Amino acid sequence: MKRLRFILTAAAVGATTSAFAQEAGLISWWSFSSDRQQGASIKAWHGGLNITPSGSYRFANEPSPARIELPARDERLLVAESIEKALLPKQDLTVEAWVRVDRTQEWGGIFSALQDNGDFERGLLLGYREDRFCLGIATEAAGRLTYLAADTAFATGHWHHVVGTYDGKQQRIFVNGRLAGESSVQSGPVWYPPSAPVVVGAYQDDNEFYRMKGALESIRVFQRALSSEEVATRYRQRAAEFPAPAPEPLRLALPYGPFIDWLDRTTALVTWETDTDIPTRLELFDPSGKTTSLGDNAPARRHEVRLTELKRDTEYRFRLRAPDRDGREHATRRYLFDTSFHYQPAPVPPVAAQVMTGRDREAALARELLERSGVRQGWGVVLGLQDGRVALELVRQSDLKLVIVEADAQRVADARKLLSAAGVYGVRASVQHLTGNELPYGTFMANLVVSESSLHSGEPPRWPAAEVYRLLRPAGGVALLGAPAPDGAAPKVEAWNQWLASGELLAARRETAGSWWLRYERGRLPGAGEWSHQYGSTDNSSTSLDEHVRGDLEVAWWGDPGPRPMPDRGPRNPAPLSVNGRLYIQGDRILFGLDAYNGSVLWSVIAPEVRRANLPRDCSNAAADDTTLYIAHNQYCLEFDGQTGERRRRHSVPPEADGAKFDWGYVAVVEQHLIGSRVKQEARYQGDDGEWFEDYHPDQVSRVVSETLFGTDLKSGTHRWSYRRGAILNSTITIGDGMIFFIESRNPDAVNAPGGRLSPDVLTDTHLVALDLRSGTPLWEQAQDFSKLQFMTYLVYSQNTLVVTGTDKNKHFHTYAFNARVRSPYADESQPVHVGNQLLWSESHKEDKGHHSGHLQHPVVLNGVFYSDQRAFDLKTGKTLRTDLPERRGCGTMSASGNALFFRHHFHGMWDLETDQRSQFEGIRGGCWLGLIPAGGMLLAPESSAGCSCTHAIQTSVGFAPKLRAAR
Amino acid sequence: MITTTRLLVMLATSSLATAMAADWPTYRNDYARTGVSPDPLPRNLTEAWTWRSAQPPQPAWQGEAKWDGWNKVYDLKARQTFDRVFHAVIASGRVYFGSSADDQVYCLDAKSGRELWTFFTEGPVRFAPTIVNGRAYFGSDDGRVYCLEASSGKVVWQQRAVETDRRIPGNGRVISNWPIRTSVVVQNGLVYTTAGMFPSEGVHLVALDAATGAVRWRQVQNDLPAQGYLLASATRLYVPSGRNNPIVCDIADGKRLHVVEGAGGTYALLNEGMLVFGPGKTGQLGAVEEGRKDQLATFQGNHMIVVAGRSYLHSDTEISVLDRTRYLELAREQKALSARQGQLAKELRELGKKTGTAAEQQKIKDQLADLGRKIDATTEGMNNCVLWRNESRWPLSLALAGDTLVLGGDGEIAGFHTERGTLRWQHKVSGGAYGLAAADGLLLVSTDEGVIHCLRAPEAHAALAPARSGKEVRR
Repeated sequence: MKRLRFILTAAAVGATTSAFAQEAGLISWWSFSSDRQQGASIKAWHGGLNITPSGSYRFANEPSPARIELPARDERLLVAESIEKALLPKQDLTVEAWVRVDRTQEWGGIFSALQDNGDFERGLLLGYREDRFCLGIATEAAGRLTYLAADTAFATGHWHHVVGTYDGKQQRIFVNGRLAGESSVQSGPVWYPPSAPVVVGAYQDDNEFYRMKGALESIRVFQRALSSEEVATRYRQRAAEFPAPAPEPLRLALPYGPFIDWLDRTTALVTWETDTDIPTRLELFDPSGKTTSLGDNAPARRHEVRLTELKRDTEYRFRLRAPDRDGREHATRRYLFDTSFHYQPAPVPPVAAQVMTGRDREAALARELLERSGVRQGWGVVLGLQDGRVALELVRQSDLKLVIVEADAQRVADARKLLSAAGVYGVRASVQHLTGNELPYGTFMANLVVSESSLHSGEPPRWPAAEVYRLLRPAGGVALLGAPAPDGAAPKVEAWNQWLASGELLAARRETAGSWWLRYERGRLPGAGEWSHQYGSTDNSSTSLDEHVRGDLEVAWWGDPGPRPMPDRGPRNPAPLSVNGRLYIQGDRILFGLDAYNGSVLWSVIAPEVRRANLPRDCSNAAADDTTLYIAHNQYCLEFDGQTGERRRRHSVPPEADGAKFDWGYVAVVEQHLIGSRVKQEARYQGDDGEWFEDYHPDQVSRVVSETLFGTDLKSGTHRWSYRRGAILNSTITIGDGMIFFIESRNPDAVNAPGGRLSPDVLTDTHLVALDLRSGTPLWEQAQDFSKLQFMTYLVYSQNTLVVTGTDKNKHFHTYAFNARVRSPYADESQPVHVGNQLLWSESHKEDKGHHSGHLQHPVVLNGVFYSDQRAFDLKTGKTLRTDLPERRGCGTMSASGNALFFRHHFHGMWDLETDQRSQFEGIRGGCWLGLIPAGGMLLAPESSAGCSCTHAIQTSVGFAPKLRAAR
Repeated sequence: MITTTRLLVMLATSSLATAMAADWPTYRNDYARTGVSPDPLPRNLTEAWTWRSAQPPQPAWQGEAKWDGWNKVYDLKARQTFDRVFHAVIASGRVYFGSSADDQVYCLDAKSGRELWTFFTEGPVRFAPTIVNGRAYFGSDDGRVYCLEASSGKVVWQQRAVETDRRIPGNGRVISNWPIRTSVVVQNGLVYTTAGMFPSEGVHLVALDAATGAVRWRQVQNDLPAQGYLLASATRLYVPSGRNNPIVCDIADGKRLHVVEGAGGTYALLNEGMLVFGPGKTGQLGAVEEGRKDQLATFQGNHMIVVAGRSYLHSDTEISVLDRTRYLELAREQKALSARQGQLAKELRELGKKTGTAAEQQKIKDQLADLGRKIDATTEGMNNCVLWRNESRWPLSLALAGDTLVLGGDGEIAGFHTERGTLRWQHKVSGGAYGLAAADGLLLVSTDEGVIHCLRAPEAHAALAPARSGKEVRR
């Protein structure tokens, strides 16, 4: 069969060759089917000038015609670096193309060999301006370029036959065989510039490069001007090969998913749901252009497809397709799936099982250690070896990575040999030879501390209990040591008592049911803060009040995620969160759960529909509590298990009577209350064009508004209350002391506007509103003119004070502070009744910073001080306390612990309020919004500088710890 | 007659001179990191043996961001990556390499691939050892520098580069706070290396006594990390700094002379004092002359080989050769013209502000136009410096052995004739061929799957001893 195909192909080539031999005057011919790409070139059919392609072009042979697709990103199809090498005809010429333009633009190129730079205008262009094809030619006689445009507009997405001819007198443009323009302004030979690249699929000269978004089927250059009849004939002969495009599938909006979970290194599971029982299929596009349709045709709401034999470090794309009840095709957009985003621990090779053959006791001991400790992820430290087999079993039976410490050199050597033979040495377990009494490991590094030697000897490890305590991670780090009866050595109880007396592990629980164990689980770090919401907590004060993150800090861990899975640094992305020793990071449609104390990636899930940007005009899509990460996703708020990433419950926005669909906007968790809001679909910004959202333009400053705010009881999952009146500015929703505050516009034009993203000009008739958190009952409201807050509107709450701030078009800050308290309906009757909404003070000033989005800075409120722009004000009185906040070179915004502020300067920056010292962590920097969070006694700095054009030397996620604490 | 190429290699590797002539004793064969071996490769290369790791390499860094959204630059090049594979070296009939997966340094018999010895460190070994005077020198993420007997793997000395022993999770492993993230250079009886990555923790450039490991001098920097293979000339040390630009230091005491300008990256080579490095954001190599900070010229490409007045330039899609001497002459000329152009443009602007006479302005405009023509002419001249070019689908690595350019690609390597630019041979490999080493008619290919392929002429491995190893060794 292959042989037959070869013969047919050869015959076809022969026929084609003889065909072009008859095309008089043909000097170059490029056909853009995938078989023309040979090595790094696109071979010319005729003329010998091969095209050098680069960038993001893609060949597509199906559906016909075979073509090269040009996304107008970074691709370039270079014919020659100089016109001289392209041997272009100077007089009597034709450029013919079969082209599909998908997007109009001011300047577009199909075949470009020109310079049009100010007064210097020379060369030749077959291209388009806006929606008209054009032929540009310069001659010495005219002294400039003239662009002859076709008399009718072209249709985007349709194939066209475009021909430009010039015979030294007449310049003509033909579209689909018809003469569409003619000019005699130019005469004589074409006046080419001395140097200019010759490219196809773009307009390029020395100072402009306009890429075409669309596709090319072929381009021919003739050394003669084809006649009108010839052009018409050529069009007729091939027109049938270029059918009108099939109608694009209608958009398939999924209520849930897709999500991609790794099953192993080459297998992933894609899950999604549809609104009704319909068959859906997954179209997988691999980088070579191959498309595979996967799935079954059984109608269902919940769907899953297993992707197998995935190549490493490869960018796949996929979309989901489904028919509706009328049989019309619907499809999602194309999602990216990058297989380099794999963060699971290295797998244990099968050979490890052979190593452990017949060693059931070690396997049972390891199982017991894992079950009793409840720890299966992160870093484990093994203090003392027997032969390494229990350690190996720990690795086999869990996702732990181990550091094994041993003083005896021979045992070290033997265990290394064993673990190496099992294929896990290094990547999952390493043995370190230590003879001193102190351990060199970082404080809080270990999720689990065990001892293999103690299991056999019945004696405590040689390293002191104080060191074990020091290593344990707060909020769940477990030391599990013991001598399990019956076949282990009897425990040396007195030795254990002495050992325990030397440190905090004295509180260790002795478990003696059938065996003898000491189990100690470290609690939370007293005085440590949390970062559970975008600006620290629901009060938007941008502080965690963490008491530990102060003074000199040092690196405690670094690693994944790096820049590759992260969104570009610019579009004001959601902040990371950290609660209960876990760190949650939003990548570019991928979620991460990390151990905050050692950086272990606990889980990750690829979630192509989870993305939000432009936080100055919206609220975050995430919140966290002790056990759970809450993520707004389409109409739902999803609960992710904080430790495993497992998707658990989901909460839905309250339904609308007419069936209209909404997305989940605001998300906050306070005690057992889940507070949400309903926004119109497609209201959110996603920042996919790398926007910085710092200019005063409707596309950047329009506010995402909610039309309903509601409360759900988390225990029962039941909806408790809803509030609906005006258009609520998401960026202002604030919760503190049992109250919810926000600003809403009651302008009917805003309330009834069809979109969910409104210009500040519409958001008039503004009211500051307070609701009771538990019932949604309005407590008070205050009509207040906030029209000066044009760039953005922020609201923060602290110490019974609400502060509203933002900037006007001229980048002047305007700030208003209000008394916030009323007597809560649940308060003690004996308490005095407070009246809220009194304006305490206001202030205006021109922004101080003057660059890198200084006018967008979000404030920090800490210890009765309101920090904004470069200034600090007394929260209660508005008195200016200082005007010398640290210079912040970068575009990020500030965060605070109880004693220090953090920000991006040239690098990660810190201002210690106790010492007034300002410092930087050289070589590493954050992104353009809030990325440094002090929580759990750590300063957490997930990578957020992705795409930054600067050459800062390191891009990685880092956890910093106070030096005094981290003695080693 | 000794060729210029060979002479340059010998000069740059004076301390490696005691190694056998047919060795490749350090990463890219010498401290100039030229990637050039004078030994020709046989034309009929076949696979002698293959070594395969139980786990693939574990590079410290995953890769660059997908794009720069502000500048709309896509497919950014990885500037922080240097350890995609287990880079191998060859000395006295043995092959040495370190593993970022299992923390060991391996010594194999070059003929058979048989494992002769291995040595465990306490952290990933991310850089190839350097073999000098029968000793193997290398560093580890455990923060130590090691000197072993190259024949036996016995420890001669080991030295913690920073006295403090602090180990924390870093890049997925528990390693020293001051890992060795550059290679070592052994020269002048000293072992030069760096320890540390985060400037806020102190990044140490140290010189150790090659015989004892004792610290001879130390410089601490607090602004830039040290990541990538060190380079050295007789008087200078060149320290790559990850995404940033290399640092130039005095080899006598380690004091910083300057940081060169450019677009960052850990790939670098030296030629007659000129530092070439990249790949920057987009796959561009910058050339900086000795004693200067600013770039003389840039080249579109990821790798370069420089020999005998020629530069072989290797991009994602192409291999080409430039008349280097002429190209650099023109680059110098163009740089001077551009500087003059900038100066005149500034004068013209100032004249405009001062309402200078039309005649004065016209005079400058004429000069600018003339300069523009001259710059165009130099550009054209530089374009004409390409002696040959050929397409390449092997973009990952580049080395020169005799008159064969070896190109590493994804799943395949290829050999090109240096004079004619024609493809000589192709050979399948397992994974991405990011590492190449050639000596004595032998070619080692290291891939990102953790495989080392050994290729040589078929008669050279007709009667080999059977492999003996815990690892899979295939012949």
